[in-house]
Amino acid sequence: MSPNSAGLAVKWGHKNPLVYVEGLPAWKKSGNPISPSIDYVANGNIVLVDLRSTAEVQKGHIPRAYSIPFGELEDAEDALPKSLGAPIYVYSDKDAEVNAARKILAELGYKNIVGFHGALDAWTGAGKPLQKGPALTATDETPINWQKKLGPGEISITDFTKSLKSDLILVIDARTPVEFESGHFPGSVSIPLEQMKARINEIPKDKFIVVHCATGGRGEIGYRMLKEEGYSVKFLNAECECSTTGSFEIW
Amino acid sequence: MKKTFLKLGLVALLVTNVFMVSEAVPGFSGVVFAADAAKVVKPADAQSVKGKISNISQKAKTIALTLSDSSFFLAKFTDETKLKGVESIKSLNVEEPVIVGYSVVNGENIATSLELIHATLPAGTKEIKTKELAELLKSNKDLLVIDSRPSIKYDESHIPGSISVPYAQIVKMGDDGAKLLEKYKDRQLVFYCGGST
Repeated sequence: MSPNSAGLAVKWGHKNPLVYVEGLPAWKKSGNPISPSIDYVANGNIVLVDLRSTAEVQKGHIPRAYSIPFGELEDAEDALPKSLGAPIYVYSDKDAEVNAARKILAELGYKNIVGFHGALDAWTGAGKPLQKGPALTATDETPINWQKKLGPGEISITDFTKSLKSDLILVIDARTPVEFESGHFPGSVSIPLEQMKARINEIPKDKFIVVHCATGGRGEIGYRMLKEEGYSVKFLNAECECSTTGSFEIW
Repeated sequence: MKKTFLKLGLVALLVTNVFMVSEAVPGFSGVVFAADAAKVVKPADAQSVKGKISNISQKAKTIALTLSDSSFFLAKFTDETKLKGVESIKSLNVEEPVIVGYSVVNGENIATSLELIHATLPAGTKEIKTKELAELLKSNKDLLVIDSRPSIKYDESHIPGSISVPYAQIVKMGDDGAKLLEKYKDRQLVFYCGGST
């Protein structure tokens, strides 16, 4: 995208445009600051966390923010969203806290963390008011609830759980046989992704198909493969764990 | 009879719920899912394809690509798959452009080679590295950083101070796209996106 854009800029008379080929992933990796759009902070499907002290938060905070003072972040694991894919945006009035919080959250396994430096100035600078009084709080009993928006082909966790009980829906476990043996969803059928093409005749055409794996990665590939073969198919884009007793957890 | 009918109706309702309601949920259209409207690909005679990685499964030794016509291509890799431009399959990332050479064995595509394509820059442009850019941003007030990714990506996170001019948008405008950049004629432009795309 960027080299082509720069090429067009040359064509339109701009002198010596530069291309930052490594792009945003490298920018983030070297610890440089990034910022979100203010409207996205206001309305996007994100979790916003204010790291300042409760007293500071009382004086004024971004309205939808949860208050988790920096000192308490490490012990707040159970109060944070269950989904490790949840986009967590942290802010403070101290840059060092934002950077340290990013590290802590990364160690907890969160994959989508944004340190929002200069958040309060950016917010008020965009003409948005701060809210006085207590901010939202999260506890181990009432953790932050974040729900992923479904992309094409994805099935919600609720619908997935329902589909396990339906005779008209076949749930395919695309994990390896070893993973399947160590626990799987009751009613699911094991067809590892690497065998799916070869065993396509075992998959009935007159049923709806739902493919899952441990994280959603293999599930998505299976979904696409079966879609191409003309199946009515969806996949579970979530992490899950099944025990040998038939109990399971999806998040 | 009535009972059976009722039961069937319920099951049908569940199925409709699962497959229709979810369909109606407006999904975000990330690049990873861009191939959703995929056409059937029958690469029987082609020996290599070029596309962006949409998914890699180390466990299933499978790589999925989105091709330029947004169709979908799937191949298995083996220990014999020759790598070019990349150390190991593990260091490949989603969205990176690759060329996959393959042969068809028992109806499955087996990757014989896998090459990571490094971006070639158009004439009149120059590359800038991370460190240089971070320093220039502090010292050069003429600098204008332009984010070429789709605007939703820009909204999620971007280089502070950058503006959003999605590549897709200027391409759609043809030569009128020049207008989007015209007011920045006297600025030093720096374009970036999600890396090597």
